[in-house]
Amino acid sequence: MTLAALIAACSPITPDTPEEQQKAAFEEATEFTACGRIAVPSQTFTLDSVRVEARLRGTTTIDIYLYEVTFSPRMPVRIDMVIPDADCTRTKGRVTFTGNGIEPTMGGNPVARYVVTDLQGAITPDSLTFTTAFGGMTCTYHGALVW
Amino acid sequence: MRAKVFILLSLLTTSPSSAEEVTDSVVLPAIEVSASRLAQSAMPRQSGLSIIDNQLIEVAQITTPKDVTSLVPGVHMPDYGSAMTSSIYIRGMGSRTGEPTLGMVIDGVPLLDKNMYDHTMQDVKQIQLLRGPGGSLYGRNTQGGVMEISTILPLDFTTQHIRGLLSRSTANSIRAQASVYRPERPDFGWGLAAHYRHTDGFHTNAYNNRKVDYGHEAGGRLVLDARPSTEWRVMGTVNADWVQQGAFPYAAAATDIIAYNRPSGYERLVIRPALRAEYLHDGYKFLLNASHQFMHDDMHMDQDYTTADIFTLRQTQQQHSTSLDAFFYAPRIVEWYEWAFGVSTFVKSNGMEAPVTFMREGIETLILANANNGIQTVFPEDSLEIRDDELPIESHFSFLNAGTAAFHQSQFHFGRWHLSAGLRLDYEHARMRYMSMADFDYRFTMMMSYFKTVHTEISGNHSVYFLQVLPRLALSYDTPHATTYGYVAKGYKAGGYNPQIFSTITQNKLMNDLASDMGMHLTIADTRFTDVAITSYKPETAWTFELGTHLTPTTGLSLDIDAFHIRCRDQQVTVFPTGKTTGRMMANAARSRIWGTEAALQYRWHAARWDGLTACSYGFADARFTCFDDGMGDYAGHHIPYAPRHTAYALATTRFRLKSRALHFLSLTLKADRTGRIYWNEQNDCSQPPYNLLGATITFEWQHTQFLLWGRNLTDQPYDVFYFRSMNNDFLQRGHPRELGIDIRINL
Repeated sequence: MTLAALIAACSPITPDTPEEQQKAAFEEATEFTACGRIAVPSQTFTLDSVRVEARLRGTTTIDIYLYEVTFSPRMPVRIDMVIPDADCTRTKGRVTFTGNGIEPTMGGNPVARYVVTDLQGAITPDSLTFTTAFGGMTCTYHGALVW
Repeated sequence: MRAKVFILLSLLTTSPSSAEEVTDSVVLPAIEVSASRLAQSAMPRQSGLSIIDNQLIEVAQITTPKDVTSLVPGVHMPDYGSAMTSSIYIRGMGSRTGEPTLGMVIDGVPLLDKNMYDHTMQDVKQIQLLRGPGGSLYGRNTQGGVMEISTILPLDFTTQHIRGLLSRSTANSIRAQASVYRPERPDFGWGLAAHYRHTDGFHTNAYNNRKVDYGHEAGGRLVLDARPSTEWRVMGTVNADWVQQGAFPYAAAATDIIAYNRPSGYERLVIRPALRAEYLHDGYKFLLNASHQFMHDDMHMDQDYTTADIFTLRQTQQQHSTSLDAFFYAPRIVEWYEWAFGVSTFVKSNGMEAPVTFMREGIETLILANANNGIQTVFPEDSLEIRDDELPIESHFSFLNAGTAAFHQSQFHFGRWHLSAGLRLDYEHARMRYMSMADFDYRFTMMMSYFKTVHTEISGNHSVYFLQVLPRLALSYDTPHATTYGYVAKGYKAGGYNPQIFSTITQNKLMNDLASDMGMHLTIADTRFTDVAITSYKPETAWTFELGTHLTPTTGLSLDIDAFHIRCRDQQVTVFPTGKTTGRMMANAARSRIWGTEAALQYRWHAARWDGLTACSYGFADARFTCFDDGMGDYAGHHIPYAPRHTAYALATTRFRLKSRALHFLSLTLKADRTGRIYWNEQNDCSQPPYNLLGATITFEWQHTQFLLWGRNLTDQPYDVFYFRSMNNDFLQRGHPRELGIDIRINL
């Protein structure tokens, strides 16, 4: 009995529920993947199942990757776009990021005409959301984090 | 030229003294068909069969396999494109590309590639055309029939035989042939033949005012013929044929003008050594045919057929094929039974290069216009640019086909009733190695200030296997002047690969790779043309049900009548990608059914002062899809394109024996044929109405010489032999206009 109590006392504390496990993993993670909807109000356009990745570099910089996304119903191609070097702040249970005047890249090439302004977003253990404008075209994204 | 012809004529006609002394020197000895696999089977009696003997070959002026069109009911071999285009339609079946519906066998050896079908036939003594599946005897690619061509052999003669031909006709066309067959001893002989052909062509390219369809052709044949014992006969032959020609005289349907800016042509060399052995003993017969077939060809075409510099195709092939056939026939050990057994095998390897080159206008219209239409819906101020003036899409293929087959046929005889049952197993393995690639420099103005090279490549290998079981069951009833028969049989066309579609697949991958390189993902509208697996297609199979009769009511008269029904599955049809893309491919996309009937009559008469021959034939085939949806339309109930609904042919020749030293015989031949209607597409909204072609020949004949004046399409009937649609444009090829010619034939 004494031995069993000792082992139990020395064991690391592990989360009991999936939610608690997810919160614990969130605190450790530097890369986050979400799947959700992007909306472009000016085009009255929405696109579901858009994959977005956020990759922390250090503690204050984050890159946002958008995969196979379109911003208009007339757009015949889906594009991969990266918003590099956004500022971010990490607190317990939350990562927030902002940016202004960032040149996004496609295929490694900067796309100056579609400069990112008013980027504001947040990552929680459940979701990844942001609002921004590409070359003046406002769009919003809301996705559930994929673990 | 004309003076020389008459001098030659006068020299050649000095020997005979009177017509009475003259025999029918041009008629060859009795035809020995014992070596024919067909002759040993019950098929000739129990199937539709057309026999074109030496006399009919000469009066009908059959010089290539295409010349039997309509003479054999239901057979249509349009002369278009180039010598590599050997589209054959029989009984409503056939296709523009892919494997043939009709097998071609020359002196017992099957030609393993239909690119060799269109050739000059020299010294042919007989053509047998089996109408209906060659199924249990011939197997592969004979679901519509078999054309068996027999040529002259040295031991067919007892003395040296020399033949010559000189012909001059419209379009500065020249044909010259010479051959010698020499039986050195009763057990050994040799033969040597050569031919040459030239034409300036009939169709002019308005772009450069030059003839499109000029041509040169030369060939030869060496034959060794030996009878080492009373049982054995061994023949060795080497055939060589070379063709070099302009090609693809396709006119825009809207203007009826041929005008394209890039040269088109075709060159082919075929060498076919073959060894043939026959063993005959106590009624037992053993036939062995071994052959090697080498073909090198080179085809280039302006693939848009317009003066716009859009894109070109070049295709070269280097092909080696080897075949071995053994056939064993046993005579009736008991009165009511006989049987035959055979095995055959072949290997065919083909190395093919098929680069498609997009020229500057093609890059602009087919690649950049499509891409920028999409890009500029999102980025209206930006565009994709390609720096290259030419964009070649290289394609290298290595094909290997190997097959083996075994067949058995039993014949049961019960008085006048005859039952034959045959079964053949065909196994074939097809393998393709491919590598297709393209490199080009591009720039997307939105984000690139410099050009960047993108490389696209697809490579790999793919293999497929086919196994076919081909049964045949036939019943016939003989009377003294008629054989009435019925049969059911299965035939098939081999499966294979579509190299033509690789440029489209590579083009699609190129656009994807280009987009990926820029961080974009394209949506290909027609995803069928993105996967290499689609390049293979399965065998097409057809069941034929036929009833018919062969009648010989009087001496010299033969009449064949039949009716047939064919059900075709996995039909190989040509499908095209949607939009302004460039490829085409064969797919097992359809089913069809055909109802038809055929009749053929031959009548020969001989009288003291004159003799003659009449040959008439008629074929009708109502061939319709029962199921065919290519994604752009449902064509169930529509006529199968390119196959004529009706073919009709009539030839009459009469030879008068003259009591004159100056001229021994005078012959007059008239012929007419009618073909149509031919639907040009699956929609059936475009067709060639039935057309008539009239021909005539006057022959002046001496003991060893004939002088012929002939004409074809005497009424100068305009008609089209081919139509197709490419890149939303309609094109057609006109048939040959009126042709007039002079021939001199020598038989010594």
